[in-house]
Amino acid sequence: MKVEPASNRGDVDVVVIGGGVNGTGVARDAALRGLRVALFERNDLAFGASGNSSGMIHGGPRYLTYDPDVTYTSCLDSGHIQSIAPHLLFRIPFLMPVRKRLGSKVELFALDAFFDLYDRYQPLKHGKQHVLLDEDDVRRLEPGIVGELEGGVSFDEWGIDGARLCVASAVDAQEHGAEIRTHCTVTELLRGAGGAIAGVRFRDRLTGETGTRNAPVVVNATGAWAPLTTALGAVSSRAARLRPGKGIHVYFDRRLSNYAIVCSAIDGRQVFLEPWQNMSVIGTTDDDYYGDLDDCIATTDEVRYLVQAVERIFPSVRGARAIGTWAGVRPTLFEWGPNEDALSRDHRVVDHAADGMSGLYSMVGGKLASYRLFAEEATDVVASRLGRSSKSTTHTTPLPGGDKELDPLLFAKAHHLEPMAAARLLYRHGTRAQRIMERVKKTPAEGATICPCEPVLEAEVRYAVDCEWAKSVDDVARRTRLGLGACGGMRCAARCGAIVAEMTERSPAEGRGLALEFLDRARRKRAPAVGPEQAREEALSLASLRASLGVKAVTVVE
Amino acid sequence: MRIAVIGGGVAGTAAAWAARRGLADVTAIFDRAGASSLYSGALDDVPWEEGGLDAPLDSEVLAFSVALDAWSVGTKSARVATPDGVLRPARGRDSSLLDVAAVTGGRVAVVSTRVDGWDAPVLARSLAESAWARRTRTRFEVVHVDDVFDAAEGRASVHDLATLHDDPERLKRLAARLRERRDAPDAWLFGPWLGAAPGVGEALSQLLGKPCGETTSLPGGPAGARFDVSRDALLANGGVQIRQERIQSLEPRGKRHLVAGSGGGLTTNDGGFDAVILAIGGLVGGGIVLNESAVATDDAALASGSLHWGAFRPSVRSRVEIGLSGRTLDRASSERGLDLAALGMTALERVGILCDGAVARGASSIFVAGDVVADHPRTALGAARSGILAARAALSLAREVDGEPRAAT
Repeated sequence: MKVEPASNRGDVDVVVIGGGVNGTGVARDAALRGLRVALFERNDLAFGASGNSSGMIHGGPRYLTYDPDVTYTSCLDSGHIQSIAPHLLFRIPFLMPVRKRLGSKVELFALDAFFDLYDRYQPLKHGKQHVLLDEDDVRRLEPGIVGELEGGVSFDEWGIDGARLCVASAVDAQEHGAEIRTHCTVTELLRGAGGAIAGVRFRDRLTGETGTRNAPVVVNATGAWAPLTTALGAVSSRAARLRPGKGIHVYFDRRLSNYAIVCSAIDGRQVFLEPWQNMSVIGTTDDDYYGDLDDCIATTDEVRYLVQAVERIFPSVRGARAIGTWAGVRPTLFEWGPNEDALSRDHRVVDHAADGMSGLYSMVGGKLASYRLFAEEATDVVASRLGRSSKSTTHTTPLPGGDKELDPLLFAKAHHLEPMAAARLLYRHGTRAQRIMERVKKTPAEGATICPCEPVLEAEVRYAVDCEWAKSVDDVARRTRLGLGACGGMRCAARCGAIVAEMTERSPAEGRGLALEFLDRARRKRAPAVGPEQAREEALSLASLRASLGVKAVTVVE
Repeated sequence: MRIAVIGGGVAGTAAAWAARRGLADVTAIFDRAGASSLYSGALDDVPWEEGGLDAPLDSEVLAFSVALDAWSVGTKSARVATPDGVLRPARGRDSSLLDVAAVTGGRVAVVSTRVDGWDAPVLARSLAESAWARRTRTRFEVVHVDDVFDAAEGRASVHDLATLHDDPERLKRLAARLRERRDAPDAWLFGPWLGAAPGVGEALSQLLGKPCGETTSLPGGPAGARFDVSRDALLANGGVQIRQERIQSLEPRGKRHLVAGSGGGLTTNDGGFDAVILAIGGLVGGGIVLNESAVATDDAALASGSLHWGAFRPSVRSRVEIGLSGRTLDRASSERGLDLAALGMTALERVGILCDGAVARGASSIFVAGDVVADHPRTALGAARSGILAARAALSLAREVDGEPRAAT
């Protein structure tokens, strides 16, 4: 059935629920096709799996043997993502060492053959061909690896900051007319004539404002929340059912290795120690999850599972300083039987006409690497329902900031920045970094460094509030990595809270409240990874809070 | 009688001072101060956010505050401003901090100048909206003062900025510039930049004839540096022997204690001490550490069963018990030992050595003071008081050793 595009003012063609990669991806695609879009996100952009993944834009050699289509589409799309957001991509060279043991010669031979196959997909994503390495090669490339080795292979992948990707997509959608509302939850899916969807009712969780948005099509892109979302329209939550899988990562204060190293966990699963921007990350776990989706936190024993896996081959990880954890829930396709690791990473657009609500579509499954393709498929469905025949242009239109690459050293010189600060700023914003530096030109005081660990300028914080929907210290941190470095926000959270409060017309006391909220939440995320060094840092940050803010305001779980 | 005081923070300094006043032969042993070097400059007897300030101060604590050059503890409670814009009560203060209570109902100028991270307008607004300021009609206004620091200086660390004002000539120039202002306020509030030496804030106040002072310091600010300076002067003038090295172990030999350090100056051959006061600090100061071997989770450690439940230990090897909430800390909440997430992060401040009064449980001639005492509230005046009590207890033991009856402590 075709429906008429919206005609009333305030109405839109499509409402997108969810501000992760899929939701922002659909909003952008639809907006680029000229559709009128409204996006509602209940927490913040990239709050769920999108902002808590390893950020690997890979084809996943992991899927090659049982899901070669996933590998092909992912590799193809990885190439597209590179061309639309070159600033956000970083190369992650991988190293897969093979231990010497009975049959390891054959194992290495098989691995070489396997990667021969994977190499065929590499040109799709501008990746390098794999290299077969002997023991000496492996040790030269990564001296920290221990044990007797048969050899190894190196191969090539790309990484991305999932939160920045969501923000960039949302900004582009907005610049093409979309309405983006964060911290705004959909409370009901409205039914029109004949049971078809007619729009949504929403409530802003910060201001309490409520309202409705009429739309003939609604896309449920809420990831692991998908069944909860369909239930808002009295559609059975089984209609969009998933096998939610919790995945956690532990991150360290610096890069521990040159290569991402493939390690084997106690149950034989592969986990990675991966250089990630200016840190190292270990991930990931994959376990069925039955807990609170809005409050998913890693546990000490999950951290231990990861660290011990890496420790067997790269023992110095034990002495390294873990400074935090990420935890997210994958919206994996539902299947009864297989264990978590063997579940398909494919994706599907579910049409809820069969469940009695036509016009409602749920995006289930998928992975970061193929987000753009998934969004294109979902938008094709939306467009065809609206009777539009336009094609997606999201693979050729650069994301904001991705129109050209700027040289960090020249940029640093031109704007009197530390080269490190310039490189980090350009990584996050691409050419949009110029807009941030224009702010500094106008108001030199905004050139102050707010967060010394991850050089973040005051101008960037203000830009995040003005142009990227940041409404709390947590939101600023997600966009800029402020307060997520070694000091855990001890030196910047209060200042950031004051800025956010001032810009959103809240009182300084409310600004301190925002800072405390962030510090409390950040502390809960760090606690499972705490080692000797970090314990002292924690005690110090507690003392610092007491000195300046008082700790009673912090809710402590004891 | 020889008494060793281990630790150079507030508790250790107070203990060494009090023990010396009791005419003991005192050796203060410390590498450098931990939490006390990081303190804010505000002096409390109970944590300020718990709204304490009730009991009158111990007269010896008052005497110690007077002896320590950097501190100012009056009969009335003070009110100081934090750099995050909170006006908070304090039992006393580092004398370079502005006591806003002294200009209740008046106009306080918040000095605006170019320093990284110093936002005078936000601070003034935040202070002005506090309940106390509104109740007392005390006003906070931004007053821009040019060239307190030049552009290059403004990017330096707060500690370096503070050091600049140790120069009396520079301080005079600053006073002259402030005196020129027509719209003279009743008091001047600066950031933590008034001297790495004690008393610079007071000196500026005298030059101007109006109260001048700082906000509290954040960790690493000049308040801690001023404490270090006045500690060194107090101990040296009082005739306490100072040994700068890190203690490694504390072993009983007969009725005495042998102390071994890392610097080679302290060895187990020097006859030992009759009493030892441990004032080594909590997790912040490094006196209590998370046990590395418990965190090591390799297969060998697991197989040999060498993991220690409890995970915390003192950084000095000795016969003391680590506890929390009055009980020995031997809880295992995960395979890794203690799960800090389950324990609650504020527990980090309360883990320490279990004691009965000032005496370490199970070790009658080891006395404990300051943050290292389990469940002890983390305040400067509380630490000073526990140092003085530990010294009294140690002196009483020393008299007993000398054949005198043990006095009640």
